[in-house]
Amino acid sequence: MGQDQTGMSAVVEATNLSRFYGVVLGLNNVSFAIRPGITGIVGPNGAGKTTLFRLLTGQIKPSSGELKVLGGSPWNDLNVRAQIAYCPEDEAVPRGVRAPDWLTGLGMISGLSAKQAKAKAAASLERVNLPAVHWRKPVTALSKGMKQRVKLAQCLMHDPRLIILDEPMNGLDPMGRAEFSAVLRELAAEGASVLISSHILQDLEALCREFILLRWGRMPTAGNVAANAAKSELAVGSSDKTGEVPAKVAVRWPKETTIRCDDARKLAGFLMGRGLLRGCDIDEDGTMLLARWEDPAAFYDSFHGHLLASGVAIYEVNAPGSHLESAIEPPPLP
Amino acid sequence: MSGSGLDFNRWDGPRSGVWARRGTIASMGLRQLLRGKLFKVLLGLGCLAGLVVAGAGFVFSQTLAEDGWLAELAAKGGPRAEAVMQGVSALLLLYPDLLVTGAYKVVFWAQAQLGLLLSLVAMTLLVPQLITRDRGSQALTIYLARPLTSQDYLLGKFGIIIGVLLMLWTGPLVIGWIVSMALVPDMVFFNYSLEAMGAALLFNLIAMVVVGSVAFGVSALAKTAAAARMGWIGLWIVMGIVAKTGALPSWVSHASFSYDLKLLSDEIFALGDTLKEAAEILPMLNANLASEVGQAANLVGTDELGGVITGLAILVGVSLTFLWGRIKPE
Repeated sequence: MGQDQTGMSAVVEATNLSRFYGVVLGLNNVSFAIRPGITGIVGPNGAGKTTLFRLLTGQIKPSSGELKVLGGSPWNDLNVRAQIAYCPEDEAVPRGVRAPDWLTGLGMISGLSAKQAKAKAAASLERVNLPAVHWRKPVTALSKGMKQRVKLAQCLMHDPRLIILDEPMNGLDPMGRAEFSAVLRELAAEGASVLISSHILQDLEALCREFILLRWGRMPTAGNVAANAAKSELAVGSSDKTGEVPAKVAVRWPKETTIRCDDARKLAGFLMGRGLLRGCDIDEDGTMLLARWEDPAAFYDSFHGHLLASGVAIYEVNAPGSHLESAIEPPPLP
Repeated sequence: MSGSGLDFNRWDGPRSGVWARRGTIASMGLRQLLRGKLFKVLLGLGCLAGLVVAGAGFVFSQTLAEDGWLAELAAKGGPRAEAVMQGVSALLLLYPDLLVTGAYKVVFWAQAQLGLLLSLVAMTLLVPQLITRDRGSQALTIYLARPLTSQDYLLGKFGIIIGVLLMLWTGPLVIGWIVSMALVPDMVFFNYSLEAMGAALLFNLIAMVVVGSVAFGVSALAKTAAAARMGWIGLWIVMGIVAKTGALPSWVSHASFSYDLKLLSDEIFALGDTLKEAAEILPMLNANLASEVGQAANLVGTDELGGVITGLAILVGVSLTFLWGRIKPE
């Protein structure tokens, strides 16, 4: 595997990668490298995310260019695929099969023995917090959120080195998303690399160290990303020789947060007292606080604690104008 | 490349080979099928057919054998009955190929008709499960993202078809035959039933390929489970009925795989030839019986083997073309 400027081995390396479906463009001449850790794939519908995932999992062949995953070609190297797990966006669960049975089968397809696969299935379902009461139900009878957990669990069966997740947060409630994110962070800490796409950009911003932006099958040029990044304080990586770069989000947390609560003045005073606020606005009703943070990380790293300690009833926490959202906005018309 | 010996960098547990992984797909499918009540009923009927094969073989061998139970009974029935029995035993010695092979061919032919019917009913349940649902729900992407090629996946799915036919048809046939052979009083029954068993297994194998290919083709083409079932029933029952009416040109009739398989079974078991031979060689009790046997032979015989083979070959080819196009688009 190649190494980037930081000396870290790249998990995925794409060079002038293109994929066409007849005359329809899927991906067009993109080059990037993905380093270990959690990387977000961002782009509007039809940007080429699913095409990229299908290329990475060896289900389709590049039309041109080169793609290396874990040092090999996923298209014709089963050793590569043995180290990959894929969670597609679609339902992707068979009818009439219970989660432990399905996972056991998938584990055995990945090369585990029946005994090991059974044990691993139970461990994986526990890890994604699928309540035991759902283990006896057919997977198709579970709610969308529970199915998402089962789909994540199937990714953990064979301890893959690269986990590819296509919109895994769909259908999960905020608690579920937080649990899901925690599992992904644990996996990354254990050495697995995670590639994730999601339309819930705030979750991605909180989760990912690096991003790949896709739009209309291409990676936005440095100029386009920079224009948007300037508005949203995004740091942009240096351009490679093709002039197309993966954007890197240096700012992890939003600088501003809106909080709907029963007493915005009391909350503002509390946060000001803790030295968290740089400034704030309060609406006329006194129930909405727009907080501008001195250091966003200081608030977000333990925001549960801060909000609980304030003694104010909190109804909603939101970050207006995600940086990532700004970055993937299409360029303005000339 | 070979799928065995995978390099699991992070997994240090036991590893299984590619055949085990293909087998997993087959066993998952069969377990799913076995949960259904209708399939359990079909399985019960298949087993019953196996018992009938064993029972028929036992009764037949005991009836004709020189020291079988009929001979013992005849000995008690006086010299006339004993003489008749000796005549029958003599026939067995003179014409074992006609008597034993012919009788077992009839039994196996009947079992094949039932086994094929049960398998076709089971396929109605199985067809959506082969490929349609995996494609529709995108579960296929999860399978193919694992160390499994399209060929491995299809072989695993074909394993389900083999498993179904083994449970409903081949298994009862072979086990029934083995049980009946374990109880025969004379090895002549074993030796002369081998040809009939060979014919039964040959037909079984051809039917497995044809039924499997057509089921795969239908399953790959259909987008929903209901469409897959309708497609299968259309090809099996509707085309079968159309073919049997005889109103259409023969090449249209051969587009029905069930019609072709019926004709092929008649050809492989060659019951017509056996009956003709029996009418000519065996000393019949009267001329009318010999004539009736000869007429029956004409009814069973078929002269459409070329059309049958061509029809089946085209059906298999078209089905596999559709299948490959859907599963391996590259």
